[in-house]
Amino acid sequence: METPSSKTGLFFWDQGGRLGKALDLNWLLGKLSKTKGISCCSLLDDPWGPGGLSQVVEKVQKGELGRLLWVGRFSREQKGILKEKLAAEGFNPYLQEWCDLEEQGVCRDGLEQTARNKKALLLIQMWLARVRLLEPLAPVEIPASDSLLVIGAGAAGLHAAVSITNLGKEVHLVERQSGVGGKVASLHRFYPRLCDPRCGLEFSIQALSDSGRARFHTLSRVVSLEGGPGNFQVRLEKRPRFVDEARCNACGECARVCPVEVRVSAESQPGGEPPGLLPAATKAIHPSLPMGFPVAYVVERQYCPPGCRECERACPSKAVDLDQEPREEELLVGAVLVTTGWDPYPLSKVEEFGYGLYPNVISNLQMEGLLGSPAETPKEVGFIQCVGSRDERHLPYCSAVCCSVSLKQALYLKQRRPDANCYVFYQDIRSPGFQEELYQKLKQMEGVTFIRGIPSTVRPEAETGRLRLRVEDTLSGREVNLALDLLVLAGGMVPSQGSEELAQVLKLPRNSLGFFESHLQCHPEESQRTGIYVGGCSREPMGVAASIESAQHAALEALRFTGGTVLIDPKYPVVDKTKCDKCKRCMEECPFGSFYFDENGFPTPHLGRCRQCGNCVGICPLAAISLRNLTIKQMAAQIQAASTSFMEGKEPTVFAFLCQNDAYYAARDAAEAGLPVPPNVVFVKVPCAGYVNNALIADALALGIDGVLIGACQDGQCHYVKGNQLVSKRSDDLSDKLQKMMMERDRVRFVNLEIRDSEKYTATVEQFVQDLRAMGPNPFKI
Amino acid sequence: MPPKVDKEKCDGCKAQQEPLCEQVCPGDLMTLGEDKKAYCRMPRDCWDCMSCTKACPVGAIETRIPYQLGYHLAKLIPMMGTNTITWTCIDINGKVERFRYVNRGRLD
Amino acid sequence: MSRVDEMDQEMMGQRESLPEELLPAIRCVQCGKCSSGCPVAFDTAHTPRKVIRLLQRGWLEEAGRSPFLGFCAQCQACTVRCPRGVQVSEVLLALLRLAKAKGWVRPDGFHRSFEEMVRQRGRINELRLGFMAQAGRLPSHPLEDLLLLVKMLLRGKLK
Repeated sequence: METPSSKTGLFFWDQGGRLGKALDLNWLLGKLSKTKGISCCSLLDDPWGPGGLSQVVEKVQKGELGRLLWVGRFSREQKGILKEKLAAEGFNPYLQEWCDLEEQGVCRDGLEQTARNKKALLLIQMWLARVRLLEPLAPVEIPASDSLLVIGAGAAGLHAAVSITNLGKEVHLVERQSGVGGKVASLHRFYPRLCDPRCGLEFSIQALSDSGRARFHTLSRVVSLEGGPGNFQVRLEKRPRFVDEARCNACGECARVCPVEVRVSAESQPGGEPPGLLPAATKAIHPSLPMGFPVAYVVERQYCPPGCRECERACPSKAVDLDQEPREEELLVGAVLVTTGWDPYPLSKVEEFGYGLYPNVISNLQMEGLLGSPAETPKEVGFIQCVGSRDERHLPYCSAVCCSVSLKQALYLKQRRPDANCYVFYQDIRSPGFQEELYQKLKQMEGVTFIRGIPSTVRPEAETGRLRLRVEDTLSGREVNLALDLLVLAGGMVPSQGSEELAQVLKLPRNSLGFFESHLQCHPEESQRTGIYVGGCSREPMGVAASIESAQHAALEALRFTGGTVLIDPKYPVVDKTKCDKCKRCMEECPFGSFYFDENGFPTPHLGRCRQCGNCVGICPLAAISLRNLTIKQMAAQIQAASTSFMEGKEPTVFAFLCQNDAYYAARDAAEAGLPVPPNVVFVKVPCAGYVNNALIADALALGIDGVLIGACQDGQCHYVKGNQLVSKRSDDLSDKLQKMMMERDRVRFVNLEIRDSEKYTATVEQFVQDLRAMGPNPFKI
Repeated sequence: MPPKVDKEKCDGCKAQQEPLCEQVCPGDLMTLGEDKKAYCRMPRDCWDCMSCTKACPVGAIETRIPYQLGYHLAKLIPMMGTNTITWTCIDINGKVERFRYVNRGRLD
Repeated sequence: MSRVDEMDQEMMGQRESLPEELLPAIRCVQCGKCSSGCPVAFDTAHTPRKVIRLLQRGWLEEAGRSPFLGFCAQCQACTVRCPRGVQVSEVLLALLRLAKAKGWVRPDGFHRSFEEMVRQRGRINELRLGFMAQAGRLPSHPLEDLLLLVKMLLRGKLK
């Protein structure tokens, strides 16, 4: 494409004299029309009235204008309208800029007329410097597959998959076990309707089967993930089932002849108790677990006696194939949903309660199994809450569901055996929302006692095996001694083993507790890798309803990377290969892991993964990376244009880089509210404070600007994870250098601002200007 | 005189294949030590081009001026802009002079 | 540091009524595990949890005068069990020291005799200790004590 003409049109929107009250527009127009490259410089009459833009449109149509600069107050929507109107005339929307003099405080600051006009001129020249270097850009299309990957076919994953298929997309469900359903399939009953969880799971499975758009990959794991949003290349490793899924109809003839009994253990804890309602033992060939879907049976080949092929012989459909090999499969998907769920915290670590030592100390998950089985219901039952959770020695967080689970289990227990005595030992009972009703019901029930106090140790009685414990009833201060038949430990949740493995494969960051890191406040379903979404307990402990909601939310977000193509804003970074020396710092520091090596070994951003924050621009030691719409040269040109002094005498000048998510608004609102922001400052907006490269700060100082201010988000609130911290450290390094250079290190200042911190912004600038006055002019001033 | 690396600031360029100072040194003198920090392995061969000082992203390198020219108290510090270099010269008496040059060598 | 941690620090700093060595009491959530494990928890009117609660509320003197402090054997069962990482035994010991310094607790006859003897001789002579402790008081079980005395002498338990 040929470089568009450099003839720039400058148009002022005076709003019927509003700008003109503060500024000498004639003087400005006069000066500007004589500036090289300006082919037209005038006031607009009324851009929103009929024919208001005609003068602009005519010139564009006649090809007299290659670039545009609008000066005045335009809202975001109004800018959009202007872009559209001119795009209709063939004018590339990226070849124009807006200079808002008001938000820079020009119209209300305490400057006297000449200085104010000079500042206005300077600001316009800054924006002109940028406009001269603009390039015509267009959004980029990247191909987007129409299928999604869901890792983990538990309750959350299944329901999310249903939503996805309802919208006509294809979904691949990857599950490491032989059957779907996860932990929920092993529960006895659910609160609030006290219904069987398998009912809801069965419903989802039917919906998925009927849709014809769901493919199940059981006994599978993801071993690699390449590419990016829109086109992730996934490689699955599939363990052999030893049964042909197409032929098997679960008639069970094979199991009848199988000579081997196998203990069913919690998959995540080999040798551990079977979770919940799962059978304690099965034959070596058995239906899929936890739920019998996929319908085909599965053989646990490691238990087969050598040479035994009884099941193969017995199968009337010839479905058993004991020679199956593991295989790999490759998938192309648009986005990935991680719903790998939770595992119970190993309660044997909480030694004081004797889990694993005494047979009548069980976990809440095992209690589900007991309540669903025909076993005799014990009479004296205790529930200890917060076992392992809310405990610095184990899990510092609350596992969210254990209180509700214990309440529910106490209710069943009383239903099964009305003369049972339940004791619930708690610190706090967390029964939010409508669950309060359950709590109140149980509190008033005969034979259910809530004791606020946690026992310290549990000892079995030698003869009876009953468990003796002592506890302080903290509400009365009295000692309570009990002998119980059964003790249920309300254990906590940890991220599943599947989550751990996956984190390595997908290089997905996790927080310090092992859960997948997300931007909790605004985007809980997002992970730090674009295109990979996280839902359910792999993100945070939560109940079943919340897991399903969370996963469906994540599915909704994931859909944007499906549907043929995805449009990427042309604001992505570009690496200048003549300058880059492959130090890989951009790759290391990118908060979203967007960079990969191209065929020549140069770091390249993946357009789908990139969130266009510009942190790579800031970190590159050679300033070799630019954002397409905010290049290093454009920024350097703006800084150069700002270096001529507009202040009188020895007044210092300050150049500020403000992050466009928080700091910019603080500054703009400060001007709006008429706060006494010193007029010495001019600012530019950057996508993230992390964009600010040390070379740009060096430019500003070398050209004589007295002070540089960087405004960033508060710690922990940066929209791009840690851009504020990165730039803070860099500017610190530069300050150290300044000190060595016999310059005041404080000429570079860093401030954290929240979106409404206008007062803090004003105070910061005031202090800065005062300090700069005391420091004297920049020694580089010529 | 050879470059001096501030071990606290140096992060070994995150111990990638080669740190920046190693990549840029024309005499192949800078390298990573056992502590994963950069150092000059042949101080006598250094000819004070200061490429390493300019390249270091965290400003951990300082060149030592030979005693004939000013020794410890004298300093020569470059600050890299986008297309400029500013030099600050401090002589043994503490007098400071500053120079700014546009870098015409860049392939733009 | 997250905002919550920052606020945590601010609030910790505001507890001016509590001396520094007793500040860990603030972290307690009153779960009662310390009391449940304490071998002497229910031998007095106060349990360890209760004493920590008094500290949390800033009722320093009442906590210092707690009968429990004299019974604490420093067995550390409370500290080991505490889910909030409060060094309960240490806090109680610090409280006892404070109580002694402020005169809220005073050592009884036995205590005083013990300390006096250690100060004087550096060692304890059990026979003398027994008599010193009883000095000024009528022995409550004179015959039994006498028999015990003879038994101990015969077995060489006293010098």
